[in-house]
Amino acid sequence: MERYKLLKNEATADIAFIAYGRTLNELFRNIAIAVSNVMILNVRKEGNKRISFKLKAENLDYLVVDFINKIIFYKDYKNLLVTDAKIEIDKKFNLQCTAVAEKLEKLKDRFLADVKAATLHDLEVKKQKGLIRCKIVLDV
Amino acid sequence: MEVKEIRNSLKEVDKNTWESKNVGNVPIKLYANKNLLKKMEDDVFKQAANAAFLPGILKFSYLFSDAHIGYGVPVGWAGAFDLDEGIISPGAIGFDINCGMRLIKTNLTLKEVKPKIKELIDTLFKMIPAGVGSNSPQMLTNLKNLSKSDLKEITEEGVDWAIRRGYATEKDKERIEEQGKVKSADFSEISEEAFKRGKKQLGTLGSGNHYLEIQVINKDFNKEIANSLDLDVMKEQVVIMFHTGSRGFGHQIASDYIKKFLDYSSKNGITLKDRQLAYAPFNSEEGQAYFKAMSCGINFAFVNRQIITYQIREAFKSTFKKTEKDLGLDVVYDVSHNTAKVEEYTLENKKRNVIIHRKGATRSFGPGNKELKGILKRIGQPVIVGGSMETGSYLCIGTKKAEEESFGTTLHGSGRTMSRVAARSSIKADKLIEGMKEKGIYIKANSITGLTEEGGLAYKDINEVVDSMDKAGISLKVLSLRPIGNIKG
Repeated sequence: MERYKLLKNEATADIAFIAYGRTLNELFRNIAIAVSNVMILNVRKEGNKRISFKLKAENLDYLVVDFINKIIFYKDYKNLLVTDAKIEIDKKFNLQCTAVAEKLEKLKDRFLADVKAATLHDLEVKKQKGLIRCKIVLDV
Repeated sequence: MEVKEIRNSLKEVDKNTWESKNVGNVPIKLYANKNLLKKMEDDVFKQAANAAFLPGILKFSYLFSDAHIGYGVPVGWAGAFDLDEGIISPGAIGFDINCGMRLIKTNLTLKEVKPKIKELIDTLFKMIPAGVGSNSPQMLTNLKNLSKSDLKEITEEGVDWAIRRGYATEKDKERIEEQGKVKSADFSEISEEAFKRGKKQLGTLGSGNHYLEIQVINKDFNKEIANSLDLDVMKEQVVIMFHTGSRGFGHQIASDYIKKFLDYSSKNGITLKDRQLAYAPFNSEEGQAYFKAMSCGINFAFVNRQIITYQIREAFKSTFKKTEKDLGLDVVYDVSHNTAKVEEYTLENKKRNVIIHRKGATRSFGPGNKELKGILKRIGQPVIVGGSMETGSYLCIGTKKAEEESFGTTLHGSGRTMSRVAARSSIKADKLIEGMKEKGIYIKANSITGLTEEGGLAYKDINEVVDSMDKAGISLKVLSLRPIGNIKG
């Protein structure tokens, strides 16, 4: 199973991707990895910084947006890029994230595009062929 | 109404000016030549139609020649709303509040700059942080980690703060849209997250389509206006153009209020055609809170561009070993793209205030407008149109016709034709760099892959886009400008 796929023919000014997961926890981990790879070239699990946060949303779509916006927040506020994440989501859309992160300074020669925000444009989370897939457009 | 039906209903009512049937509360009005209209994506019309359904929208849902798909509304769109019946929507403004362009003139010629272009660009690259999550310039120690009270002053006072701190002059202020400050800013409406994202980012360029360019005046279309702005093609005069906005501070304000407005919609039983177009009535408590917060974002961006101007002046002084006066580094103009502002227009023979949303669109005031100061009162407001890093840019001038027809609004750039992901695979980095080298453009960027996203192929033809608006009489060509050096994040 691929973690995510960047979409060529969508979002003229921005960047769209579809992330996949067998579970919601895996889907959100792959969303985090996709977002980081939009910003930095060839991100792998790297860095020794740790970030932990909790979120709650009224539905899955809003949880995706809040989750990505939190990753972007740490990028600007702490200059940390999430490179991998362990996610736990319960049935009431409570999310707990423990992430591995790297200082942006160390990734400087691999900068691609700064992500400003996650958008709700064409946002879709659905089950397909045993996988959960999430399509989202990032404003860059 | 289906997109095909909207497209088929478009009638050319004037040169490069098209009007559709009523698609909601108002019709769509588009400014473009036939070729650009033909190539425009269907979703541009779908999004403009969604906007036409918003409450209180006046006259038209406007599209300009650079329009392409956005989120909520297209980029290259504008809509004016009644203050009492109308709304305010972050999705119709954009995440990068007051993303905008600034043009600075120099007294230097191509002959003087060309031998030093590498040194100049390298110095600028060191002094103006660019790229993912970049922080304020190291040398400006008092900007490195701003406190809440600092950021309150900056976002409520705008460029007046920069004047007090020695980063700007009164002369600069006269050449900035709104004189560098919207009065509606109120920092108490800003979230803790927005403060934390913004406190280290003043004086930074960002990435994506944000850039700084050293350019040469290429061709003039209106010598009289160019000369009034101290610009002259005959001298092969060098200018500086850059594009940036309110950085993480503005992005967070937009994210915060989209969330609040979705909540508002759900509580008030509002059915949205697109969730990205969540809104609140302009005069509601929620609408006013966003207006005040968004105004802080506008002022932050004005100050951001002012700090970058300060750094540009320092870089030129150190590279050319001349005084600021000898270098003649004066601001030609600073225009905003993503804003909502209260402006006065004549509607049905009555003067009336409206809340005009511009997303990827520029104000285009004509001669005599009361908002313009000094020489601009006579010639009109400069409109700076940024092109791709390969193909060059334009300086245009606003018109009375724009004030009468399009709520004083025109295009903002060349407009994209290709997604960033498609550009990464269609544009080869080595060919792009080689091509730019052949054209005499020296480029400095953090990442080569990031650079390919901004290649000329990813954009519409700037000449065609600018010509369309010129022939429609909404913004008129003054000068074309070609790049000789470029910084990308």
